[in-house]
Amino acid sequence: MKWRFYINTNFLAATALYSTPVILLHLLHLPALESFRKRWMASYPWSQDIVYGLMLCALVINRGSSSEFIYFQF
Amino acid sequence: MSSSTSSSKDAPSSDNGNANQVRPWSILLFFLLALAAWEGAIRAGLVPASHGIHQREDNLIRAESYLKRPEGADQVYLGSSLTVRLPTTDLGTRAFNLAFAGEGVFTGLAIVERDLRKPRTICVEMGHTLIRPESDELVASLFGPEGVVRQYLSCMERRYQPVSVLTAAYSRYRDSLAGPAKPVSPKTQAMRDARLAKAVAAAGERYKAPLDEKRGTAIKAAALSLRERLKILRTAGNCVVLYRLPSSEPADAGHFHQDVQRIYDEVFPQAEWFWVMPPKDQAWTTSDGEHLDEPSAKRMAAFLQESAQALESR
Repeated sequence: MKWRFYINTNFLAATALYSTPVILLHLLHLPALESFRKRWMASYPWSQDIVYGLMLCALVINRGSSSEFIYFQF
Repeated sequence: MSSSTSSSKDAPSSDNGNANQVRPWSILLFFLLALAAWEGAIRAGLVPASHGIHQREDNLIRAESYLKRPEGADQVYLGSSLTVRLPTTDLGTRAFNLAFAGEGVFTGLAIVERDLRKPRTICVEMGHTLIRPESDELVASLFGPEGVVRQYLSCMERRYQPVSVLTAAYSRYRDSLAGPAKPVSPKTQAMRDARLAKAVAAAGERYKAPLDEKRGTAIKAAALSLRERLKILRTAGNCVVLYRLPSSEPADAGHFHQDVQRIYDEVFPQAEWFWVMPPKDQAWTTSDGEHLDEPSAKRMAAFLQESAQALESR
């Protein structure tokens, strides 16, 4: 297909992967999911620790070079 | 971590009770478990190494792999994107291609100098990209504290970064969906040929004029600096081989490349240094007027391997 010559799908896939935690975090805070999130957190409080642990791990092993700095604000 | 704790407390809509409380030790435990799981998967061979998503990452992966090269790889090739094209399989089992696209010889040389495990033979590309300075950032990232950790933990290597690995897996999946390569239609082939002819003509035009004085002075200064550094390696017992790579005929025939070679002949006389020049009786083809295409790169790599081996035994 011609569009493949113009769009680097590898970059798009990588960007989508990098953005996944941010998208999921925002999805979980949607009003429609708020009560589900609260119930889930009350039943499985350690699940938050797993998510934070995984995200920390992802940050460490997917790090950029020391001169690169990307600032995110939530 | 502390910032997330305070933001949770400050948020007006935070949950009640201990549910939303941040437990650093628990997070640290899950972090270490995830790290150990990834390291285990790599060591078990379940994670295929990636080649990088972009040129810069590819360079970093290449440099990191050099520091972890197998014991027998004692022949290293330093250069620019021209050398990157040379397939390692044709350079021989002992060779490691430590050339970087967008960089020059000095970046690879700095890595070889700082690495404690020195190769037996150092092959250096002698082209006009010699004036490119060393990439401090790339070299520093290899030998800092992070580099020490990387020596022991494979999960800290760039080629095993989850995003790169997953992107490479997606790329492979996409290729598998596309199936075997379809034969190129005559129309497409004609377009490709016309584009290549245009690129070759442009390269010929670019290198037609003689080398200007300013650039000539810069190339000579770089060559003199390189000579001093290579002399140190030679004194330490390493074999240094200098080589020139061919490009398209119009570009090679231009005054520019001949002027550059004249400077190198003056700084590195053939009587004192091992030189490997591309055989003139062979035709070389490129993909863009400058970089060798796959068949030519394979032929040149095999020729370099033979020549370097012959020079080593002298």
